[in-house]
Amino acid sequence: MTNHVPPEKIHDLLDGLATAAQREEIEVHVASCGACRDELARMTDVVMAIRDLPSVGQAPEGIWDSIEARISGTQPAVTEDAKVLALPVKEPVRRRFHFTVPQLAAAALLVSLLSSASVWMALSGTGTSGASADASGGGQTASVWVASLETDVGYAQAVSDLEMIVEQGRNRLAPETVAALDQAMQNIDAALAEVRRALEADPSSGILGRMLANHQMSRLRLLRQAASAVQAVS
Amino acid sequence: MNGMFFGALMALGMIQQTDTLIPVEGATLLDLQAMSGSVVVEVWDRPEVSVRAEHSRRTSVRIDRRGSRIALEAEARRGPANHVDYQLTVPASMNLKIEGMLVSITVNGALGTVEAETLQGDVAVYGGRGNIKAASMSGSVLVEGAEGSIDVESVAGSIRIVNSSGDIVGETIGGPITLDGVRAASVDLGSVGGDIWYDGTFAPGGTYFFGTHGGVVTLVVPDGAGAQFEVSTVMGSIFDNLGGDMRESERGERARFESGDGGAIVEVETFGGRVHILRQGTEGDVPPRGDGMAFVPGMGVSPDLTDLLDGVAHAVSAGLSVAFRDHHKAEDTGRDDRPAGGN
Amino acid sequence: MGALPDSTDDPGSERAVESVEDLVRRAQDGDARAFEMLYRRTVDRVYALCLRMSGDGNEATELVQDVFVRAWERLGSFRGDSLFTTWLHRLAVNVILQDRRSKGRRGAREVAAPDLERFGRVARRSMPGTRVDLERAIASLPEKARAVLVLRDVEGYKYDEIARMTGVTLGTVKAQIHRARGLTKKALEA
Repeated sequence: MTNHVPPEKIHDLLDGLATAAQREEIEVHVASCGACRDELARMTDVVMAIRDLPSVGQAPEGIWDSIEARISGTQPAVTEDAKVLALPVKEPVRRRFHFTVPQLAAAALLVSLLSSASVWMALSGTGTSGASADASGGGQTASVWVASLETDVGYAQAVSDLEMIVEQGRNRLAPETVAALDQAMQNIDAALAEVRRALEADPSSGILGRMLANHQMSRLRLLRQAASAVQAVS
Repeated sequence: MNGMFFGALMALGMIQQTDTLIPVEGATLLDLQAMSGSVVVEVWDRPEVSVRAEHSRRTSVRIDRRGSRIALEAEARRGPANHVDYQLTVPASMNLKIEGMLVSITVNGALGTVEAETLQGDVAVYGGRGNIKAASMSGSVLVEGAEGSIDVESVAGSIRIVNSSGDIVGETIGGPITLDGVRAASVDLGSVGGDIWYDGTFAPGGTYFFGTHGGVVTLVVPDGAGAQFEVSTVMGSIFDNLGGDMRESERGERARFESGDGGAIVEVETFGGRVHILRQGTEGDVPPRGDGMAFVPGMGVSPDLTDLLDGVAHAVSAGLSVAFRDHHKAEDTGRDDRPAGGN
Repeated sequence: MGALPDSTDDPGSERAVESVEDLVRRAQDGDARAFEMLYRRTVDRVYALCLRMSGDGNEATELVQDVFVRAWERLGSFRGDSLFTTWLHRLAVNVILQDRRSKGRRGAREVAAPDLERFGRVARRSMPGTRVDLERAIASLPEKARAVLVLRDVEGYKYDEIARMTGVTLGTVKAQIHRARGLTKKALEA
């Protein structure tokens, strides 16, 4: 293979530095290249996970005593002020997919990431066997991506685990909370059904594939929230 | 809690009050876990945290200091702690982390980081600098006068962000999202069934994404805003009056509009929802609904939409989407003969 | 001068909570109590930066000391053109990078988990083991790669800002960050 997506282009994509044309060029390529699709999905996961790290820790006690000893008897001096760059406030992590095909591949991993049970299994391969197998098969249509997402072992396991937790613990939640969850799940499932039907008619539609991935993500997030709620009241 | 009812319970000795002052002594974070009730946080300029709480006799409020953190949690002598109404007053600069189950949360005037999350109940945050996270599963979420990184989420309720600035991410499943008077460098809003309304700036170099499955997206574009709008909808209608008169784009097609120098990138995506892109001052000029495409929040897909889908699926398979893709390719790349890829 | 001004008062016993601006003004006049209050308001974020960029708890503690001592020394030059926290964060980055340069090249190393557990409190609700794994993977990166990765993906600085801070070209910074991400991914997959 001589024309895989160069790594720097993947990073440009993740950094928001790729132009629309470059973005689309990558999408077109990964639609037919399982290796690049897999690489993009895994790198997306890693970078998103790093960006989601908290920027505060808990400093040990006692540091101040040492500082106080060192500054004792001194005064702040007036020196040349260094040029100050803006302190970045961490951008909130975006939840939705904004570009098409590569993120459908990433979705299989990302939804696994949302499951507390199969987090880095996904990155070590066991959680993505379904997606990888389909990806390396070189499918070219959105329906293949959909199939790879929905038949992914990690994803299916995550859904199954979370659904079981919610089902077993839902009677411990307030009726209003259960009603809100059920209604939300119905909304998502109705939307998923609509998108699936439209995809059957137009399997290669990028926008439909992206919508399906976003709805799947919403469903997983909702299940995870519900499972957390159940565990919190257990 | 209802005043008369509360008075009666007090008289019966069934309600107790906690009223205590905690010296801040270097603490920078107030961490509150609540099961049921309400939390109201106000600020003052004293180096103390005032904790006033009303609760049953068997419940008490445990205060735990560890390093820079002050933690509050209700505990009961037997069984789970139940309803507690907190009235807290903290230094304005204190960071807040409030997590609740069946709890409504209101934060007024905080200047630090705010994290307020509940399962059932409304969340309102007035003020906040830096990172603001507000979430409710079944209640509504309001953020007003905040600056920084704003992350809001509601499953079933509405989201409103008013007179705030920074980077904004918001998501609901069924509720509407309204942003009013917002100065945002980046926006990412998503809903499954809810409408999205955005009345704010489009900053040069900023990125804005609005996605809803069945809701209506309305963007109000200020005079002189430089933005490039890219709108995709599978079955919805697209209306804009950026050029003067109201016009409707062809359904099922990716439409592009430009305002000013096009410095901001604005993307809108819906499945069946309508899209309105309106000049400021013309917000009332929304064409009447006549497309029967509404996804009713909380009601699932309307029956006529389900029927309609069959027909549209036919149209899509007959070439409408192909036209959409080709149109999209040609516009984005300026050419149709892009490389097919590596395999 | 042998004693710090107002050293008899505990910072927590001040009658009113002062704004950061007021504390800075007092500290600029030599009031170490005010400076201690600034320290307490900002140390958790500075510590997190030092811990991630050094990958070592003891070293991070030393770096935090250096950052605040340097901040005290240079406080007179802070003119309020930016937020104090902005100024302090940038100063912390400079102190850490300078320390890296003065100590020369070091190899990757394993980091004791207890240091990384200091992030655990923040992460306790979601994926408790995962973030520690990720922190460990970042900590095991080569020094330069780790520093630029933290500045870019954790702290959110732009590429050109990192290039200016580290004194290397934009291309080098990009290459280092790309490599760091790749190594992190590899470490997690191992």
